[in-house]
Formats: sequence, structure tokens, C-alpha cells
Amino acid sequence: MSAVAPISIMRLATSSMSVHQRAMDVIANNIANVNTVGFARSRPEFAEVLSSELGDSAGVELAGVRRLWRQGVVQRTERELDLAVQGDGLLVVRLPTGALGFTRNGSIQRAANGLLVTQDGYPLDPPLSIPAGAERIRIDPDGTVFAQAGGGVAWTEVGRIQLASFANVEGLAHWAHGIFVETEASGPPQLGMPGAEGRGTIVAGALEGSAVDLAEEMVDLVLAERAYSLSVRLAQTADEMQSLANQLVSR
Amino acid sequence: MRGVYTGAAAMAAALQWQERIFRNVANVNTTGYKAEKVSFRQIEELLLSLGTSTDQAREGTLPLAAGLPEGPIDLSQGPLWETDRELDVAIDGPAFFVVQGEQGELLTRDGAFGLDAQRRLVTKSGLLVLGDGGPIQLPPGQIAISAEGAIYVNGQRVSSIRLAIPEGNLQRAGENMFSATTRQAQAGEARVLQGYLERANVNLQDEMAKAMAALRTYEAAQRLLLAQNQTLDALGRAVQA
Repeated sequence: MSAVAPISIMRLATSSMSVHQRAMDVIANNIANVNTVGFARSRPEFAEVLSSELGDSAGVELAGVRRLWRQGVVQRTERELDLAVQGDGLLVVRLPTGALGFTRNGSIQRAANGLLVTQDGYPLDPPLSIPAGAERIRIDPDGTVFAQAGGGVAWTEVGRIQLASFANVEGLAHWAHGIFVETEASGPPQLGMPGAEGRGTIVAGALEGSAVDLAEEMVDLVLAERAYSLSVRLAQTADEMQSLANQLVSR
Repeated sequence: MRGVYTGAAAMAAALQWQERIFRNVANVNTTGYKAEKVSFRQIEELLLSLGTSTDQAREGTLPLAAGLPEGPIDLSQGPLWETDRELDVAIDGPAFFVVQGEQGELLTRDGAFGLDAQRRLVTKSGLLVLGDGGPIQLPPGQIAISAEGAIYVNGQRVSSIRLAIPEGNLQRAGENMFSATTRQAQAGEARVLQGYLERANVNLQDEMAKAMAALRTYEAAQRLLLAQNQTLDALGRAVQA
């Protein structure tokens, strides 16, 4: 039977406070991204911690924040360079670092040099260059990109958009601006054509909405907030017990 | 003199009780957490035994941290929550998932599983989940898990999640794991639910009421100790005089 000191239950209460505070931060970030195109929500996951031999604070820890790759609602925009992925797979971009980045945000732009780039200016990979005179662009479900010269009727194939799938998509790490990079946990990207080998298809003229469900987030927020505020109460209780113990020595 | 020891032992017991209550509250949002079960009755009996036990009459043998015995773990079913995630699984019934720990097999009710880079089923702390043929490797595709725990990928049966029923006492192993001797669950003893997670079986109202009670028990024991101390002081002064 290990001895317990009032200070150790105080640590328990404060660790619970900080864990639930961090959980609320994750949920708040989800809520803030309720309108972000292609946003995948994250879920805080907790684990029980046992006291170590030294009697260090036991209690709870934030074991991880799991990003849930749930399909968002595909919303039509009728803008020809808006892409949504229906099914598994992420769009592939080339980052300034030279590495590949992966995203579900298919709000694509035509850069001044003709390259197709993401909202934040990262070029799709393999690079797709739209000829200077092209006026209209068409993208098929299998990712093939066509361009039509001004006044013309013929569609010229420009290239193909590829999608990346992963052994464990939840293992991807967030890089910035809704772009993810591979990790050891995710495994290397398996690049290929949309619609093949279980990969999803491209829906042109549409964007994938945020996969955040506000009702769900509010429930999680209430639960985290309740655990937090009760932990504050417990910290006060621990303080009171410490004070009672101190009265024994101060006499 | 005995009263001093009784007071100190009661304070230690109240503190241990409080520590278990704190752990339950801290883990109210922990998937598959099983609460520490300490009843008011258990505390009353412990406090009574501190005051009356005859074999504690000799001061030298008084165990200061007489303490609360390692209580049973409350194995009651936690609420099942729908998450709609393919690899979230919950058990309805007394069984546990079996995972490969560093030192042998462990049990867990935390079915927030994921995949590793080899597409093997793992717990949130990365331990392999065991099926009827060892670790479970899943080819890409749509994953379906039946009530018996059979896993299908694109309609093809791949493996079956092992379900074990503990026999004897469970020991906590941390990270939502337990260790115990087990037997294989029989068909129909437990049900596996895909797209669900089991929440902690912590009753917050109960725990907060107990936290207040434990605080007051601690306070009462402290008063007893102080009163005894004053008596001893007075006695000491009388002897000196």
C-alpha cells in the first residue's frame, strides 16, 4: 500500500485540469474550422496513468489527438477549378521544402505562369500547366485535365491529377494550411490515379465541406468543460486537506 | 497514546479514499476506463476497525498506513457512444479486447483502435490488437466488424478480434490496460459494436459527493488527532509541575 500525500492528490487534480484544458483547445480548433474546406476534425483521446514507483502524479493524460478522416459534404460551387475528392485519397502538392504535401482542400487556382496551384500557392504534383491561350478547363472524375482554347471547341489533354493514399491516413502530420506530410506512422504515400485501387474520384466544380459537426463538438466541449470544472473543485479540496495537515505541524 | 495513532491512520485512509475518487473524476472522459469502487460502507468499516481492533492495542504494531485495501475495480458496463468511425469498437458484455503488451498479453475495453504503417490493428498507444491468429493485418478496403468480432474487408473475412473474459482479480496496467488470467469468451457472451466507443463508467455526482465526504472524514480524523495531542501536552505539563 503506497502512502499518499495531500500534495500528490493536488497534482492529480491539476494534471486533470491541464489535460481537459488541452482537450478543449482541440475542440475549439474544430469549431473554428467549421467552414474550412476539406477540414478533418481532431479528437482528443485520453489514457489512464498509474502512479509510478516514486508516487508521481497518477491520473489522466492526453494520449493523443486523432485526426478523423471522415468524408465531408461535397458542395457544388460550379467553379471549374474547384475539386472535391469523393472517397479516399488526398491531392498531392509540392512543398517549398521539396517534399510532397497532401491535402483535401481542392480550391485550385491558375497561377500567372499557368501552373495549377492550391489556395496557398503550392503547385500540384505532378505539375500541371495550362497553356496560355486556354479559356476553359475541364477535369474528369479520373483526374484527367483538359483545356479548351479561346473560341475553340476541341479539348486538349493537359495532364492528370493524382491522389495519394496511405496505409494509415490517421498517421499523417499537419504541416500548415491544411496540408499534411507523411510520417513513419502513416507509411509512404501510394500515388495513383483517382478511381483506381480504392482511391476516390474527383468531383470538379465542387468543394468538400468541413467534416466538423457542430452538435458533436458542443457535446464534447460540455464533457471536457465539466471534467475541467470538477477538477478545479477537487484542487480546492486537496488544498483544504493540505491545510488541515499543516495545522498538525504548526502547533 | 492509541488515539493519536487511530487519528493518523484514519487521516491516511481518508486520503487514500480521496486519491481514488480523484482518479475516477480525472478519467471521466477516458474511453473504457473502469472506476475504482470504494463504498461508504467500506470506509465506515475501516474507520470502525481502526477504533476498536484489539490486536492494535500494542503501540509498536500499529500500522500507520493501515489503509484502504486495493479495492475491486468496478467492471460495470460504461455507456456506449456512437462515433461512426470504422475502427472504433466497443464491447457490450463482460469481455475484454486482448492486446500484445511488452510483457505478455493485456486486456482493454478501450476500442479506439487505429492502424500502424503495416496496416496492423493497434491501440491508441500503439500496442497490437490480437485476433484469433495473432496480430490483425488489414488489407485496404471497407472494414466491417460483426457482433462476434469477425473482421471483413470488402466482404472477405480477414480475422476475428479475440475476446477474453477475466477470471480472478484485474490489475491496472496503465494506458487503459489491465492484466488478469482469462478465458476465451463463449459465443453470445459479449457483443462487439463497430462505430461505437465505451465511455468511462464513472458517476460524477457520486464521486463529487464522496469527495466531500472524504474531505470531512479527513478533517474529523485530524481533529481527533489534535485533541489527543492536547491531552498528551496537558499530561506532560502536569508531570513536569
